[in-house]
Amino acid sequence: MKIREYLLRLEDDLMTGSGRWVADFIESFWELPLGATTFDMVILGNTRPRGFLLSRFFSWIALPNYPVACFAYSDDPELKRLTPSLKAIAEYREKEEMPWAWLVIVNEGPFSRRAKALVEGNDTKEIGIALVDLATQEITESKSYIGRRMAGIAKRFK
Amino acid sequence: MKTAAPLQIDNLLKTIAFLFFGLLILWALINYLMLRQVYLHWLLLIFNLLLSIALGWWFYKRNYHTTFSYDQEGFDIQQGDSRLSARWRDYSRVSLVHLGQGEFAVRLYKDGDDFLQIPVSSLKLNPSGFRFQVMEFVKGEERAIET
Repeated sequence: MKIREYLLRLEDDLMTGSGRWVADFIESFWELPLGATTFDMVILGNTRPRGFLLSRFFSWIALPNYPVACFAYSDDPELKRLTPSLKAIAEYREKEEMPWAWLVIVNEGPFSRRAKALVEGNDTKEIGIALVDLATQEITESKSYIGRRMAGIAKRFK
Repeated sequence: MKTAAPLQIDNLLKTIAFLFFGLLILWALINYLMLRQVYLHWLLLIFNLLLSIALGWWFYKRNYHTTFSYDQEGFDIQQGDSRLSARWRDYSRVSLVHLGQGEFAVRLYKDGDDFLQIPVSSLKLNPSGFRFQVMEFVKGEERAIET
């Protein structure tokens, strides 16, 4: 599977599929420059779904209302772009008052051991990171709840 | 220039149904207020249906029907009575927006948060494919300006 094909599946799943159980992902940008890096894909959403009449009323009274996002970039098996990406995401989150975000890093081959260890050891609650190896369909996720949740959604190989 | 102007059956049917029941309720109300009874007949319902279709078509064309023409340089969009022509280079960012119930639109952003929305699902265009095509148009124009 190619990176573009995978990202299209992930985009579709977040906007119209199982991602909607987590948040209402509404808007998707591709090739979006942010800070010192350019993300392949950025999908923005909100935890309060829009719905119609009863479902809208229910979500209004019962669900929190804050923005969330899923950032994705590719071709970085050594995670050389991780630090500027996390910095850009942190700045964006602060600007948009976003409590948490996902970062998916996709590669058509294995990630280095150091890269995997770096992500597995990351316990930042605000950013969930998932490394997706398309060749072996292996996913490495960060420890936090957001990271583990992302790992389930990132399995979009079929 | 490519043109897309499909008939939006769901919007047309919604308009006709709304007018049909609206006119029916109005007729019943007038009858009751004037005669203290509601007069209903098959011919009346058929007349109401024909009237709703005619009014619905007019209302649909005036408010919902969208005609979209585009090429590499720019586009022309007419939605109901409002019409807009613009060049792709007037915009800097492109996004795909999920409007709900599987309906998508492509948003074109100028600098800042000002945007124009193209209802791609209503136009029966492939939302994702069209989004990438528009991104190429916007980028292509940028390159031409830079050189």
